[in-house]
Amino acid sequence: MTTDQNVTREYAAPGAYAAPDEHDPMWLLNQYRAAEVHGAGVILRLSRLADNLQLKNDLTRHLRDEAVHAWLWTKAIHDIGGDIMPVDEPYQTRLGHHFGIPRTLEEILALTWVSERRGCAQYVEHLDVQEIPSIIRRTLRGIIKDETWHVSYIQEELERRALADPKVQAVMDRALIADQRAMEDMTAVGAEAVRST
Amino acid sequence: MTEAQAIDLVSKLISRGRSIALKDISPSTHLVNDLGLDSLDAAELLAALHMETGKQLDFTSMEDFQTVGSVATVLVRVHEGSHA
Repeated sequence: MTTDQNVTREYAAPGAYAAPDEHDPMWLLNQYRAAEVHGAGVILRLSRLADNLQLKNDLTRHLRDEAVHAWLWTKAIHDIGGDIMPVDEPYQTRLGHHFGIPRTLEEILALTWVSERRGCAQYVEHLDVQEIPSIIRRTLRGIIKDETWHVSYIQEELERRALADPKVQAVMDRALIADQRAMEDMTAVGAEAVRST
Repeated sequence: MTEAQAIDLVSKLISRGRSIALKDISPSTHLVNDLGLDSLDAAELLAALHMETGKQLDFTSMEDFQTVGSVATVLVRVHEGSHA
């Protein structure tokens, strides 16, 4: 198990998370859609806070991506005969619980960074599943390309800021720890759900 | 920073972030009950205050976000603390 002390600066790939409802594809697709809608809200606010033109440009492109991804998942759900349903966002809730309310641009960027990494890892993991409908596979492939860019530009921005202000590295490390703890919470909840069945 | 300046700044940032006319925001305006402030709005407000003043308000939950006036009071207190 990863602890606070061994969260590395190399940003090891996020581990897989088995959601309690992972066998319900419609729940998962609705999770994806909800995460993209939530992401759009975060990026919209970040784009208003951005303090340089390059970051504003990247965030505006990112905002477009989040909206398009939300639409793609909505369309995919519709195309396979599903429906939009309200879903909890357990990862986001736990991430916020462990990090607290972000109070600076760098803190919001760091939370977005770990959240994007986690989302990207989940999409890649899903793509490895053999029997998934072609519409889902196509959607995943298209989105993963964008998500990879999201992770990299935010990480580059944070690392650039960390060179000027060492406190930013501590913020990144705090976000990584919150991410680890959120995942540990969710893994524990998943294990408890399995035990109780 | 005076209380009045803090109220002006908090009001301006809320007006900008939530697209609410300044005239509709007063010191007694409740951020959650009157304006529907959510956690994302709260984070944006704190980050905007940090950018404008260089100060971080030590708010840890949504319960810390009461009225425009109460946020302004905390902002003044943080300023006074840093100049003490």
